[in-house]
Amino acid sequence: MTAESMPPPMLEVTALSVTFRSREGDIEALRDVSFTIASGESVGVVGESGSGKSLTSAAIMGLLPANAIVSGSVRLLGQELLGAKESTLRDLRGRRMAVIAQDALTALNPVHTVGAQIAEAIKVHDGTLSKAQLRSRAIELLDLVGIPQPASRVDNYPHEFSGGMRQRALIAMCVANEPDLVIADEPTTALDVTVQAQVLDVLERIQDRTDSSLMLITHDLGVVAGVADRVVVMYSGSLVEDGDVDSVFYDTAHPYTRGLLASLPRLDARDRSEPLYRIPGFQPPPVQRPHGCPFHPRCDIAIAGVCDVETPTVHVIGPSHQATCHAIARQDGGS
Amino acid sequence: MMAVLEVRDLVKEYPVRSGVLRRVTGSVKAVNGVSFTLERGRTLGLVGETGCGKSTVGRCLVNLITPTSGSVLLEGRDVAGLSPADLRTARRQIQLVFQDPYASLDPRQTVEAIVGEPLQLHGLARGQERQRTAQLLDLVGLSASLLDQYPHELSGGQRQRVGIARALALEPEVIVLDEPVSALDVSVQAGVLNLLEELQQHLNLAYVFIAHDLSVVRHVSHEVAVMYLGRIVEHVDADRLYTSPRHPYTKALLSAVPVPDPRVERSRQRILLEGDLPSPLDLPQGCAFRSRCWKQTDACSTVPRLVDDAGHAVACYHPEPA
Repeated sequence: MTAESMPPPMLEVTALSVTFRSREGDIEALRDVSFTIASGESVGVVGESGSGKSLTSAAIMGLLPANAIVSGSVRLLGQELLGAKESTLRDLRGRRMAVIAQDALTALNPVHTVGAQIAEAIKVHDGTLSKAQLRSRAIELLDLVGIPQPASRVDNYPHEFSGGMRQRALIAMCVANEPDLVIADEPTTALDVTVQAQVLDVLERIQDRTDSSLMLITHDLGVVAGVADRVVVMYSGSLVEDGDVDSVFYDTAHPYTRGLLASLPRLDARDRSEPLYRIPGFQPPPVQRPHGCPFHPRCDIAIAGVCDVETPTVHVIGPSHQATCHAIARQDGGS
Repeated sequence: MMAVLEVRDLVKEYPVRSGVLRRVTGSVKAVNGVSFTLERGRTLGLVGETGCGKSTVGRCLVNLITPTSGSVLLEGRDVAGLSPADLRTARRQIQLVFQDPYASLDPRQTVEAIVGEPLQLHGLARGQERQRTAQLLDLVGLSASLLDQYPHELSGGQRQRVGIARALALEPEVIVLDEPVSALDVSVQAGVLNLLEELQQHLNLAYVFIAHDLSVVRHVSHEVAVMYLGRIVEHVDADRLYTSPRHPYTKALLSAVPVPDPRVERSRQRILLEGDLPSPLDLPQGCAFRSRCWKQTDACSTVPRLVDDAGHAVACYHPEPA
């Protein structure tokens, strides 16, 4: 297949940067982030708080605050989203791409029934359905996400649902129009593990059914290992590693990803007497980001005179694996 | 050896009020008959999901909440029956570290005032408070240069270390850690967990480690008690709990924890529990886990007792084979 006849990927993010204007000067919160999500693919975006993962989703959805300056390109099935008209974006949101928020309690409106809110989400994009049709579609969706007795639960208010049920109702609302791309931003962080397992199961079933793409933003590497086909690792506003899930977990390239994996306590640990690996220092806020590679002050393989001077570029390790690291590039005999 | 901490049949009941007159119409048992013992230098992990009562147990241990019944014994002495003066001394022996280092430190106090406050309240290290506070900071891996800083000037990991230094000020024998690392990022969490382990080895501390993250609990605990709706349903050494859980709830809970290993994840069988946690106001009769359990029978309509079988205690009529 030649490059020209290839269908465009579901999502193509190229050189995405986000800068905030502030009184203290410009703050570059996201720097030169590029990645793609193929049709039907699940991509986990991981990183610690402040790494820019939620900002990436806000930029994709066109939901950045007014003082943000965006550059680069975000294409959904080939269509450029950056700089697109608000009316175009509004039409795409919900219908082609949708976000599942972390906190279902604040994302749902407390004064409307769950069913009414799902119906509203459908009506915005398809005004032809009758009231009865909307209601039966809402019941169908609640059933799809595993809400028991959906026909009576449809008339409940959000406060009558448990935390896990609210999150599932939110998923139902999000997938009501069968979007091509679902962005789930820490969808299970507020939930207990047994409830998290239920919700992740629902997400996977829905993805199988609708063949949509999933961008799963999380700090939990365990969730990513179970759900994602590919992993994008972010640190201090930059993308540091990107690869298929096995490459990133078993042939980990970037020293930050390695540190992150080594610092995790494991449920299946064999030797607990060993102390956990600790990455020295901490992630700098964007205004104090060091020159060169943002990770170099904490890095155990940093090359003096290189990593603290030049910003690293993407180094290709394998067909579907790359890292933004000078030291790895040198080890591979690259430039 | 006498246990440094013994908890006997701890119960905490809250009244339920309803109607316009807010009359008491019933009660909820947040903690319903919890017993365990803990020896010096050991860590008991207390795990369970939201609403299981683990934090209430923690608060009862340090007397932040007065238990409805049952007793807390420190080195064999019942804390409940002590005179005010003795209670003061007893309280020095057991300290609490809170979950959220952002909310638990007074933003208007300097690090020196925060860590030194317990010394002052108990009249310890008089005239040498600053020196002693600096020593405490050193103990938790912080520089004495932080003494005059305020909480907002510190990172999350540093704040939690300040919280730990404060708890150590009175040289306690037992520290109750309520979700001490769940507000921290993983790379910061590792440092705090390592610190807790070092401190335990140096000072022979006993920890009650309350957490919902079972991977963290496995890493730090010698033994683990699993709670479900106010009761301990399983209590055993950490290795046995994780390799051969016997209570169906423990089994489901462990199977739901994601492991950061794609191959393991692909080959795992998850037990998906049906339905939701029942309301504490309307518990199933008998075993509280009955309504979600795939093994439940008529026998489960009476509450199962926590029965010790060769050091592996489980409260279930149909436990998995040992």
